[in-house]
Amino acid sequence: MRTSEAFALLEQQEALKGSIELLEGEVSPSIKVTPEGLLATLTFCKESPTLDYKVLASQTGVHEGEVINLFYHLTSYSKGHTLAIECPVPLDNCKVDTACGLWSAANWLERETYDLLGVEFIAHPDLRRIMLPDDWEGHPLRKDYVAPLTYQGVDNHPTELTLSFQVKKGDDDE
Amino acid sequence: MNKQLTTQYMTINMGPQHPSTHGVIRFIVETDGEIIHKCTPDVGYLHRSIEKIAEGVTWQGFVPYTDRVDYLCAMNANWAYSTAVEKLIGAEVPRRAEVLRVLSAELNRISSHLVAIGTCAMDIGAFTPFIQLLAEREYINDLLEMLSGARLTYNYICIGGVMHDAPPGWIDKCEEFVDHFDLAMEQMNRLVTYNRIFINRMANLAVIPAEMAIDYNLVGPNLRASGVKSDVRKDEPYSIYPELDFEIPIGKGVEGEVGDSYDRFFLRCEEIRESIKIIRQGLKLLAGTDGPIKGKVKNNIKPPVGHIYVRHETPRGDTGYFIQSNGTTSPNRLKIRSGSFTAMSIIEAVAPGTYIADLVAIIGSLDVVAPELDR
Repeated sequence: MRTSEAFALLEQQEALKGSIELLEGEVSPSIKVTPEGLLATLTFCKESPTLDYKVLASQTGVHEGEVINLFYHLTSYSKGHTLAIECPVPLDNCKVDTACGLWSAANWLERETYDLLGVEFIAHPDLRRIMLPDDWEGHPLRKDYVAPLTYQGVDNHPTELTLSFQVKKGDDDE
Repeated sequence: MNKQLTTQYMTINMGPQHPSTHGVIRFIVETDGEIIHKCTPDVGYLHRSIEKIAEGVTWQGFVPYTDRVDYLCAMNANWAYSTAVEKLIGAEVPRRAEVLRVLSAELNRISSHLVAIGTCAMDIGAFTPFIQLLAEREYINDLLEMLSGARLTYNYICIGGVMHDAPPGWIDKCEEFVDHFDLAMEQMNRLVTYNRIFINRMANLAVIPAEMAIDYNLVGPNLRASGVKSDVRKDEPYSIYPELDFEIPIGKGVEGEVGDSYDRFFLRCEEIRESIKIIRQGLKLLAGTDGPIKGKVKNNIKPPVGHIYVRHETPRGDTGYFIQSNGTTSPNRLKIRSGSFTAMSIIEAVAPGTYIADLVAIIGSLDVVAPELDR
């Protein structure tokens, strides 16, 4: 099923009016949802017999300016189709409902997003850091993250060698 | 004498340094005598921030890093990442490169499964099969070394094709290996797979029903062992897989319930057989295909703005590469959804009620590879 067909089905839902939008990207199309409508959209995607997205394949986020854009990739084994859902969460109120009630897989995936991007999932059963130590400060995958120069007595100052490997952004030589 | 006997839970640490966790993973196990009451995996010890590194290197420059995501199936990881970028930039891959990709990836799948079943047997006490299977793996390493020059982290499949063509005599060597390997597998099956002690140890242990496997998003052999027929090579065919004739084995509960640890072990043995079938067909295709091995790809790739999620069937199942590009020389965000990650999260649910010694067998049967889990 194409994303536009899934969108047409979602659009018919009274509760989702105004909270969803179809993004026809160049490579991958997706459905954009507001944080308020996210849980209802995901629930419909899972419960609807025509969509039947029983699998949460991936959950992640991208830091883009003032928002963290969450991505949910859903798969259906019975129908053989996939869907991408985007949900921009504003940085000043970085909270969104958890999907743990729908898929158990969401538990660890959301913990990772919380750890690395700092999105708080409301009503998550076990929201702890997963990759980094509990006393780590900051969320490394945010674009404004600065790596600490020391951690627990370990020196992490960049050397000339490490600096020489960094890619200069906006390098335009062909 | 009417004294109430009380027992108390004891919390013990398994790991981070433990011979059977294959990498640095820690389990906080609450035990009631010999029985596990609660098991909490603590991961992240091998977190190398590969996703963050991706944001600082060029598109081609990230290929060697994908080797290090899962060193047991580096070829498959190279391929998954390359496909994702190819789809973003719309690059064409020549046919000969596709054949070489399938061949090298299937060889790598066999070598990964050999380590999986070998270590699984070793963890529960059978040491000989591990050494035998690693000896078989050496042959595959030799073959892949002939192709790429490396034995573990190949950096062979690149964006647009493959790095080198097969050297003269490679096809013959491959055929020699495939013929010899059938006998080796038979020997291995006699030694472990049909061994009554081994079967009794693994059957009916940590049964994962199909609904639970889907709920936890288990992928690959772990999912198929629970009876779900799902394989990306068939569901969303890529490369030349539609032309090849192979089966997707699923768990049938050979010695116990469907989805038990033995099923997961047995399924990997069956998948090796299917991979051998693919390699036989691929070698014929390779002999009959000429042409370039790399498509036209610019040195300085700048994919258009957009995002993509590509699924690939690696030995540890459906591996997802999510890439977001904002039109510059390096990815804006790259996320690797690995099979080990979800396989690890299910341990918390299946371990309670089993013996401490069985935890080792469960980890072995789920084929968790720590670097892929932590990335």
